[in-house]
Amino acid sequence: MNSWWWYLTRSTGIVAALLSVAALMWGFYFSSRNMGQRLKANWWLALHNWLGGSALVFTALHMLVSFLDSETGLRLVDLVWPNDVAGWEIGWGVIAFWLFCLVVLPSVARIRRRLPRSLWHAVHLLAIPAVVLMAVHSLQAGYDADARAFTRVFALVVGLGMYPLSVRVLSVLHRRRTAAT
Amino acid sequence: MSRPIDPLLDPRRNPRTPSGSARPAARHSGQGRALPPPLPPSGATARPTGAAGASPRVPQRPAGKRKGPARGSKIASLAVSISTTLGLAALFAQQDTTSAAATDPLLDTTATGVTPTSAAVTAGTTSPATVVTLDPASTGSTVAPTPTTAAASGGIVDGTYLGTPSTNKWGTVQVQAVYSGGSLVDVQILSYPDRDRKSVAINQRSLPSMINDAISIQSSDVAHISGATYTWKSYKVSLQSAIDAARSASGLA
Repeated sequence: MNSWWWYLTRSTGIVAALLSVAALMWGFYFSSRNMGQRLKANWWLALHNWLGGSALVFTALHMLVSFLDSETGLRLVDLVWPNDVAGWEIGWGVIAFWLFCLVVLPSVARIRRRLPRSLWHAVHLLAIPAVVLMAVHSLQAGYDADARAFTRVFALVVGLGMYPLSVRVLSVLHRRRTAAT
Repeated sequence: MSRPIDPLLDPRRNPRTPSGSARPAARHSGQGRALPPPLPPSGATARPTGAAGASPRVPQRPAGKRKGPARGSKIASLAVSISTTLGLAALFAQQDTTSAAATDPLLDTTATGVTPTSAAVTAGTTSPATVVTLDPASTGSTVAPTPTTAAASGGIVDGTYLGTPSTNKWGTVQVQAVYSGGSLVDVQILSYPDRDRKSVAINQRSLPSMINDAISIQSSDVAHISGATYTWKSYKVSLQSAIDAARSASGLA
């Protein structure tokens, strides 16, 4: 069973990373209103929220399973606080997890209603550094980071993520230009 | 990405379209056109219009708004996530069982005076928890080396000295130091992290360099090798304990 903890640690980490990127991409599409006409805005928003929540759940699962795997030698404190003992390759992942918590939890409807929109939006943008840190964590600590399949999937995800990111940036620039004129 | 809007199908763009909500509803139903109103049952007479004869009002949501939006997509994403997790885990398990090196050039199972147990023979082909263990009864020569002239000249007694196993989060490193002529002439690897292909690749790249380094400087203070930090630390610990054992056995401690 010990081996299976290790395999699950790796697989949950990969799936959590993919879900995080998917949630971010959905958020970019939604916020730039680049959704087409076939699917409604609430469909995009609902799926964005769902993907974000799923990413957080799978990240927590990844941490739990890596803790249960005695071979990793990770202590409880290593999972909640970055430190030199566990190494910063693990620490980046811990920071990314807390950033994801900051992004997802205030988006729960009951909490979000009580927050000023500007504050909520500023906190929500932490999703971008969170995904970047998660990528650093996966490259530095990931056992499969050297695998050719991992490199290909990583390049594909970065390529796919560039499109909604650029659409979002262009929409912001367009909005500012329109407001200025 | 945005598609042109068909004014006939979008009541917001074409307010003259009668029964604006009926057309999108028909579109969502997959018919592609508005359905005619339902026919009365056969034999039924026309009912008088008015409050008494009106059909009960069904509360209707605005077009396009559903109670559980993206429900199917949510279930699909969850199913894909779970199946991907389990599928990847199974793939990793299969890779580990098929890729382990049966003949590992790093593991010295024929080391002098050391007879590995059955675990050593299968090291690398079984689960990640498998490490090489040594039979204490067969390692007598490592703790009781035969004194030679080197001892008389103040050097370390020739022999093979077993280092303590040092475990890091990727596995266990254990080495033994071979002294001849009063100097370190070889470092034999008895176990190292080999629970997957990446560990094997890292250690097969880094350990020979560490061995050569230790022999050339006659010390455990080998240079750090990037990408093999954990192995490097454990190697130093195990080799230092072997050197300490050699010095102790030679009366130099």
